Amino acid sequence: MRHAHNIRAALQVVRAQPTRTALLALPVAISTAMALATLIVDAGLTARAQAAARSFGTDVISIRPGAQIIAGKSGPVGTLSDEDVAALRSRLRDAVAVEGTRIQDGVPMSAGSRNGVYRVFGVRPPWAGIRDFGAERGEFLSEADVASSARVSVVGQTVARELFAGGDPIGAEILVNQVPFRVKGVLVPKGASPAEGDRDARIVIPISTFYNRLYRRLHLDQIVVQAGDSSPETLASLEQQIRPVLREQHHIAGVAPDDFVVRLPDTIAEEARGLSRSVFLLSLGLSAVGALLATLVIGVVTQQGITVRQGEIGIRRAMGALPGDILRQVAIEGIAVSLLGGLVGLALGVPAAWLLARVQTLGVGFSASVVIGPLLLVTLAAMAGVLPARTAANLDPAAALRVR
Amino acid sequence: MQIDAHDLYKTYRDSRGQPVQALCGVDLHVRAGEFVAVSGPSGCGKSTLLNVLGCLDRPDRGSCRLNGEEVASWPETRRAAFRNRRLGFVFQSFHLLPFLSVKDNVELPRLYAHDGPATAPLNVSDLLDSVGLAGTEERYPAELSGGQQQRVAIARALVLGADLLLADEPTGNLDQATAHTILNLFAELARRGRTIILVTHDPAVAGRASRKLQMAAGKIVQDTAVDRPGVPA
Repeated sequence: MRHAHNIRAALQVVRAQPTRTALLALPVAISTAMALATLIVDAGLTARAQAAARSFGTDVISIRPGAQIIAGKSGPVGTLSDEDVAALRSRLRDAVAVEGTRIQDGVPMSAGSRNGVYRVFGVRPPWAGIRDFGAERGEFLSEADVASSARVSVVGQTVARELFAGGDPIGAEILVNQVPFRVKGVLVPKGASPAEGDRDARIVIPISTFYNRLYRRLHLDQIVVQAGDSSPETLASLEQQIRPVLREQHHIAGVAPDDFVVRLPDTIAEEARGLSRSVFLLSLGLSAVGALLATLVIGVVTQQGITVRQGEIGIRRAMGALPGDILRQVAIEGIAVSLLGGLVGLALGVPAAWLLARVQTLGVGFSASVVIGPLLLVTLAAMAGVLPARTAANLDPAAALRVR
Repeated sequence: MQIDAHDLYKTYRDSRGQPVQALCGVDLHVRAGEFVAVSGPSGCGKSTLLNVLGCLDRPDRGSCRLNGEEVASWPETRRAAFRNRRLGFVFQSFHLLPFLSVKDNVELPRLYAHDGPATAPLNVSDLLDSVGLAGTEERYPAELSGGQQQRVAIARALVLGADLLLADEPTGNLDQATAHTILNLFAELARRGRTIILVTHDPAVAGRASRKLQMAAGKIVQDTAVDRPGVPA
């Protein structure tokens, strides 16, 4: 390697002054660690958000009753109806399916001596296809079940485990709010979702039975609309079609706000992030400021060091070093210090992200920016030595040696 | 190494930007193996002469031939390689790198020796032995006395086989007894064929050379051979 001797000279200097090296590397280490932790946690949150959107269905739009409130939460106001579903079915060009559901939380259920509190979904059979939520074992609901308001259910994995303790629930009877239901099947496992909680802690019954046997209310709690594909254009266009239909159905005119909330997979993902984007940006901004500071510190300290090091630079020139040798040596000193800081930052940032994710129940993840961000930061700091290196290279060796 | 300098002129600007005539027509001829002391009052141009001869500075005018080669017009790359191989520098403040061991300090010129050894590289231990510092390889400059540090600097100047030593007040920071031993070392090196140019303002130091040059206002005003038994004139 042609410039190996410059690397050697630079490393000799960096190694010889451990305190100075540590002080210069410290700001790089801190900002690298911070950027790394931020980006790792953000990648984790993004992955979690995407998983939430995926699990709800990347081609599924959800409509909930109620006015849009901050952060997309909506109150339970009975504004959605079967007529809305019919109107949407007939007028949405891009929709593959539209289904209304009734949902009740906190419903007491028991089987034998075991009991628990779960969520009940009243649906029609096509719902399973839209939400990709069919029966793993046994059977899902049939059109006949809906037509006859049959007291049959398909239970989630958590319900099956907790009420039947590992025994086979199919064919067994459970009491749902004191009403006996026969178990037809067990739902596919879905696990927990930030958007919906434990999605296995639910049972699914015919929507007609929900109304006739459990909760006698006409309104719907959710309408799901399945788009033909999950492209953002299709979803956005579908949303644009949904709003006028429902506003017309609900007789909302002019500038009056919607009495329903349309959520796209993106919205669901954003809600599922848990930590707002602004916290992430603030943290990333702080590490950027830290990086600038680290760069400035390396630049200024190295520049001032050149004055002190005139004798060293002069004697190296006298011994045959060219200005380019001095330039490379001083620049490599800056690179070495920055790299050291970057490595320490790596060693601190990864555990910090892991710890943060544990304590705050966030996620950790990996993306290109996890690599690129800290790399940019270290590169910036490494560039700080270039200007002082030019100063050093331009020193007149005769004048530099005159300094006593 | 033989030196043939003719009609050297050099003007530089001081810290206030005023032009200072450092060399005003210097003629100098030195044969290989001569030990030449250059003295004169402050600002007479003796350090500038040393820098021009040492290829650290270029004359404004005139010719500077080292072993018959016009070094003043060489590009910097060639001058740097020449300094590396053929010239050795010794300074009043030693200019050792405090963070390197004695051995690494002595070997420093090897970092900048790109084209393979011109002469067989000297063994550092032998070299240290020859300047009276046997066994100090792993020590650091701060652990050594001033005289010892100057010996390290001399060993460093010789490590690639320099045949012209340029010394600027090499005994300026040393006590008289130590200075004496360092000057003996220079005399010994001259006896073995190296050319030595030593700048000093101390007449006693100048008296140890084989030839004394007196400078004033950028000119050599006196050139005296010192009659000393055992030292070639």
